[in-house]
This record gives sequence, structure tokens and C-alpha cells, in this order.
Amino acid sequence: MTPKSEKHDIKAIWGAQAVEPNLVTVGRIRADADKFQSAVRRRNRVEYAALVFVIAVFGAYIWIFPSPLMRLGSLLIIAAAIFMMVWIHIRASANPILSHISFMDYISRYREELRRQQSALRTVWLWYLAPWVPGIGVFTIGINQLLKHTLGNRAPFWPIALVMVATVGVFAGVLILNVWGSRRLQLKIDELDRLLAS
Amino acid sequence: MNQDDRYSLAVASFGPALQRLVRSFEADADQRRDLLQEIHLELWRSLEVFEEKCSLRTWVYRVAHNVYASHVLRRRRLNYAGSASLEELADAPNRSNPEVIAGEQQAIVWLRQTIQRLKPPDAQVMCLYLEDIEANEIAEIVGISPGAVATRIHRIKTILARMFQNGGPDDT
Repeated sequence: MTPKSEKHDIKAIWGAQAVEPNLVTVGRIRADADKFQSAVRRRNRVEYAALVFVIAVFGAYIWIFPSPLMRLGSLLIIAAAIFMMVWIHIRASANPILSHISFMDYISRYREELRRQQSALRTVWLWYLAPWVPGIGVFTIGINQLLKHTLGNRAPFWPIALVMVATVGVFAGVLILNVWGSRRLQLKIDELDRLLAS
Repeated sequence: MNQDDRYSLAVASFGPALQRLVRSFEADADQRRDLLQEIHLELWRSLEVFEEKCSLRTWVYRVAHNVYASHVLRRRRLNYAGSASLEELADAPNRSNPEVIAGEQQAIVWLRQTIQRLKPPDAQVMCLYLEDIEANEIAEIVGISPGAVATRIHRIKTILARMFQNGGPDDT
């Protein structure tokens, strides 16, 4: 039977809950930390590798294609990729939030971070899509000229149509995904606002 | 004392409290295990910059509560609309069954369920109160004024007294 004094002390009952032996070791924590860092590095590598690939491909086009417009388009696409790498690094990289500040401060910083990420998503058309437009446009006109120069009036229109449809499709997909992401972030921000107001 | 030593000390001193905290906040066993692991990892990381400007206990609880907040936000919305405040619980009719919550284990279950129903800052204050932490330190951890903590503790005592008044544990 529970002793009277303990029975009447809810804090003692709370503190006396059975706990599992601690299986977490410093070695295990270090291994997890390394795994986490590796995951972050891998994600960043993927982000930048895609843009480096674009730069390499269109850098090669400058030498491969004889058309001045295609060369100019390639240059503009490379410039867009470089701009995007810098933009992602400065504006869209993850800002770690210190975990040892008070809960309400943490929530405020969390909200700021979500708002920053949301701003990046909302303006994706400006920094992620618009920079490609001049390069793709000029490059496409260059393809058209090259085809006409080579094949004359028999030059097919479908390569140009294909580039245009693919570009519009990809752009629309990116926009839809980012609008959806922005709305999801807004729901979280709204929750945090209610929490901060309490 | 280096980072690993500080972490070992923190776990030796507050490991059981972290388990109690996680059990109170997370009902799902798998999520609970992941959350506890995540708290330990973040605690170890954070202790690299621990400069003893606050107590180790305050630091540990801050990290734990903040990791929990991130965990909830990542998984789903905070479900804040369905949560209750301490004030609402304190004013609600007493629906407890003294025979059901008379046993210690049942009391613990009831406390966890109550904490899970509360809005996050109220849930945190209640957890920390049950861990026997002083109001000033709770204010430091949660980031609300000591006066607001005192008001919440008063409501917690009202709720506990009402729930356990007929034969169950009491907070006296």
C-alpha cells in the first residue's frame, strides 16, 4: 500500500515514474551528429551540383554551337545559374536556430525563419524562374535560326515548340509546388502567431 | 570540462526527467523514441557553447522544450485550436472519477493526458512544476514572466486539488 505522505505528494509520484536505463552514449551521439552533418552536406551538394551541371553543359555549347545567338543564350543561362547559386547561398540557406534560448524566443525565431523561407517561395518566379527566361529565349531563337540556316523552309517547328512547351511546363510545375509550399508554411506561421499571442 | 563531460553530467542528472517529459508530450511510442534521441543529440550539440550563464538544468530543459516544438511543427500543425488552457481546465466541471485516478499509475496516466490536452506553454509549465522546478527557473525556460508562471502554477494547483480531492493524490 502506498504510504500516506507519498500518496499525497503528486510531485513525488511524478518523479518516481519508472524510467528505462539510459542507452544513449556519447559515442552514439557523435555518430548521429556525423550522420546529420553528412546529410546536410549531401543536400547542399545536390543543390549546387545541378547548377554546376547546367554551367558545364552550356559552357560546352558556347564552343560547340556556331550560332552567335545560341552562344549568347548559353552565356545568359550560365549567368542565371551563377546568380541562382549566390542567391540560394545568401537568401535561402538554412539558418540554424539556437536551441538553448527560452521557448517563446525560440518560437519567435522559428517564425522569423519560416517567414524568410516563405518569402523565398513566394518570390520564386523572380529569383528562380525569371533569370532563365532571357537565356532560354535567346537560345531558342538561336536554334530556330540554325535550323532555318541548315534546312531552309523545310525546317521543322517542333523542336522550338518542344522547348517552349517543356519550359512552360517546368515553370508551371515549379510555381505550383512553391505556392503549395508557401501555403503550408503559412499554416505553421498562423499556429505560431496564435501561440505567441497566448 | 569538455562537451562530452558536460553531456554525460547532464544525462546523469536529468536523463530520467527528459524521459518523463517526452512521455508527457508524445503519446506515440515510436515518435517518443525518436524525439528523445533528437533531444539528446541537440543537447550534446548545444553543450559545445554552454558557458554557464544559466544553470545546466535550465539549459537542458530549454533544449528539450525547443526540440519538442520543432518536432511537433515538422510532423503536423500544433493542433492549437483543439488545446485547452489551464484557465479553461481549472474552470471546467470536475469530471474526474476518484476511484479511477486513486492509484499512482492511474494518476500518472491522467497527468500525461491532461498535459497533452494543454496549450504548449501551459503544458510546459505543468511539466516543469511537476519536476519541482521553481517559478523563476520555469520563467527562464519558457520565456514568460515570473508573474505569468505564478498564475499558471496557481491554476495547476487548483486543477490537481480538484481532480484528486476525493481519496486520490493531492498536491499539498
